[in-house]
Amino acid sequence: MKKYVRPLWEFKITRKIRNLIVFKDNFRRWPLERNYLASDLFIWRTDNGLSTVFKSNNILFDYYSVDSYLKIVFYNKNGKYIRELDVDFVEGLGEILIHKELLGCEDYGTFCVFNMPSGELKQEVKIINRCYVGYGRGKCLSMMHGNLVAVMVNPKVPGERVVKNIKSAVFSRKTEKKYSIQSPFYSGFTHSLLFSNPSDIAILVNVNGISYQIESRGCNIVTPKFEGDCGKVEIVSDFFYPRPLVITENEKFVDCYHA
Amino acid sequence: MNFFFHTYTKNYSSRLAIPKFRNDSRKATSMTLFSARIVKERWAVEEEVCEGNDNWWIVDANENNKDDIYFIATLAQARLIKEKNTLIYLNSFTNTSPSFRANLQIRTCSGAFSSYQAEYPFRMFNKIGSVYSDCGMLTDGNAEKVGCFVRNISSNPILSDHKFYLYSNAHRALLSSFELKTNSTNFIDLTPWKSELKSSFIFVEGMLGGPMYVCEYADGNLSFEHTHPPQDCIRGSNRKELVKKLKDRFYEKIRTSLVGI
Repeated sequence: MKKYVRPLWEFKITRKIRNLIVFKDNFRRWPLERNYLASDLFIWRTDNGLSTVFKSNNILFDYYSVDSYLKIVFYNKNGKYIRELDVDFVEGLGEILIHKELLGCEDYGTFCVFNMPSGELKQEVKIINRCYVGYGRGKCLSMMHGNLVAVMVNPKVPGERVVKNIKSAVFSRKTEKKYSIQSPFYSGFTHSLLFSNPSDIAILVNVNGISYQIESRGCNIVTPKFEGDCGKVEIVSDFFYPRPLVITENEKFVDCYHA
Repeated sequence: MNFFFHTYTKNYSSRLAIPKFRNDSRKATSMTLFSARIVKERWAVEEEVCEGNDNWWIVDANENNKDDIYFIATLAQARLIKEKNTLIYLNSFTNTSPSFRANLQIRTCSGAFSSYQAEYPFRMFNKIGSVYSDCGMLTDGNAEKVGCFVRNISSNPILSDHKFYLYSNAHRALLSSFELKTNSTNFIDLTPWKSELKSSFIFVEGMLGGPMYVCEYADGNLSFEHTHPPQDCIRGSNRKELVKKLKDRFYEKIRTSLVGI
């Protein structure tokens, strides 16, 4: 039955009707698009001696046999555009080290990554880049994978016009979401929660009773307060997916993961 | 329903912190933590006695329990696994969005640590497939040691063997192969090939399980994370077909190498 219904679901008129009807709990805009290159809104850090690395496989080539490169767009923590970079794949791996010299600052912000076709793309594609980001000092980087389908661009947009055509892959509707982090926060370590905001409007996150605003395409780093060992963190937000990255460190070691 | 597991070797200790609450704060009031292991081709299920507090069950791995799996259930539900001698869907407590996860942390004796939020969903237990993973994403030629955990959980209490292949795209050659077991946490030391991993991939025939890569650096720092399954990179009605083509293409490289040996 599904194989007969699905083509109808993809008709232009059906798509328009679907876009008009926004189901109450559906915040994901990207499934309604026919053709997209999507990305997480990753977080970069060059503050406090940290560097950030990003690695991606050549998704367009692996699945569609289309040569491609990575278009990386950087924003500051307030969501303002900083710069963009094109990175080629070498033996199937696209990699960039993000350090203070690259961005001209010791700070933090966000970035998104699109697998751009090198030539003409003759087919519709639906690519999601939630590849791998790592944080650390020197050459020792703790890696983690991407989290959310956050922003997207039409694959037909030429590379030089990508920045102006990036749109949020999630609907910018406010809600009330409570999220308890399922990881114990042991005492004796510094824990940082990193939130990014891919929507088109500012969002609020409340972490254990303290509220923070995050601008569109921006991010914030929160150091939660809790008592005792194995502390618990509870988040309340008007964004539907307030799941942060966690960086836990002591004077010698750095660890990162999704909360 | 999600299950949980350890990643333990003689060099990496493993600590599981399983929350007694969902990420929407609802608590597991009438349920507790159980472990299951295979003993003479039968599932042996026990209530897990472990450290913890009001919010967490904390289970440290050792040589004895390193292949155990853990789940949250009532006593009556847990008994069903023993009676039927197969892992079955017991309750929906861990069915949440975002996913219900435990913190899986590895540590070294120098005090280094790395973790990720881990779970093994029930829907994977009876699926037959193969594993493909690009080694270049989560390995580093600058690390002192590099390894890969592959954990499998299957419904029936069987330990069967499956081949793990390491293939270099740059050299167009099979680098090595190993035997993995179902219902086990397998660890492959990839250190001898760490400088090749940037352009290599792993392939496991006939068994599912997410590869988890660990890198240990000279200063002790660790990296520990799993790769996305191939189907997570694309969407669309032809996704299954594209993933199958991808896996077939990579398996053909391995098969060609094996024939040439």
